[in-house]
Amino acid sequence: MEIDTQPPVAEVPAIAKAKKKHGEQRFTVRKPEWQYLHLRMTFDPPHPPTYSSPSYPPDLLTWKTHLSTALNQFLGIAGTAISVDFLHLEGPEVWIRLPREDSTRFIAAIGGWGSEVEGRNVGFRVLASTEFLMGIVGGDGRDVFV
Amino acid sequence: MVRVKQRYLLFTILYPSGPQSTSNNTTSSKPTQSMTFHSPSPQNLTRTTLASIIRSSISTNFGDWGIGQCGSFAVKYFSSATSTGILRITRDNYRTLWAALTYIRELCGQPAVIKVVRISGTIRKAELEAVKLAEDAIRRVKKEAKGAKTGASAGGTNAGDKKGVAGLFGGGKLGQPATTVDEEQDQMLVDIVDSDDGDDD
Repeated sequence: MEIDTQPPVAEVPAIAKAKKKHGEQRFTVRKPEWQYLHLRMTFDPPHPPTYSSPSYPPDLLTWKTHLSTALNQFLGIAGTAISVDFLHLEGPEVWIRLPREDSTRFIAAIGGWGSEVEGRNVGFRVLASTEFLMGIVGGDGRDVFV
Repeated sequence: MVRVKQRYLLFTILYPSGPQSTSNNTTSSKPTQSMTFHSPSPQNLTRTTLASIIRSSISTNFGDWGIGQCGSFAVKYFSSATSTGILRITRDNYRTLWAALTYIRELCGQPAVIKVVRISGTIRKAELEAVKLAEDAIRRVKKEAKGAKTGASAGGTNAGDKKGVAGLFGGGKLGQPATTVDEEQDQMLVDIVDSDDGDDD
């Protein structure tokens, strides 16, 4: 069986030259720009499985409001300045992306936060925290390349 | 046993809009630019009120975490006459405190800017700098007053600029000659040196 070793895109000439000279080249991403989080908004007492109302499942604005409240309490204005990108919303869960340097304090801020909304205690649970989006997409990622 | 390392922040408060006009307009000499800028703080701004203002700034800007990190600062010295003070904070957190100071925009309802003049590991060095700063201020004001007098050639007596300097350092007690106030102020600084020897480690 013949394996196609051709790169999918044209290589930079310098890299191609080095590759020819030294054989295989490896590249490690040491400080990725982003941190990806998988969060769930928890409610206590919990909602029934098929429950749906204008306030549940929470929409993106609700997410943003609650996250900002948590950040403002723990980190003040400096905390609300952390830029959060919402990538995906599914039921009471969300995928977000934020600068990697801020992830530690962000998790600390939202992890320690709780509030009462409509008679239920609301909080956040961090389901996954990873430097690469594949980490929260789930699985080993092999299916993406099939 | 590891010693807890501290930092001492020497700061001055600047008032861009000058003091709230009370009896200053009645003086013969108009206050110079630097006198307006370095005007004395309001009388109700004391060490404790200043501490609570700084603490609320830390809370606003850095939240519970900020208060936890550097809520343990201490106002070691504050003189409302010269608008100068010294804060003590653990070494790891002095930048957070500095940022909180910078974010303060008004004091006692008056627009104000807090300028950190010097960071020091010992309170003694901060005090020396404070004394130097006060001396510089007096020298500058005297020079400016002299320049204004010769420029205007109004024939005012020496009492005019003395009053001006007194107005700066006396906190509104305009009748006093400048030298008296100057001595008082030095006395205050010396007192602080003596009383804080125990903490000076």
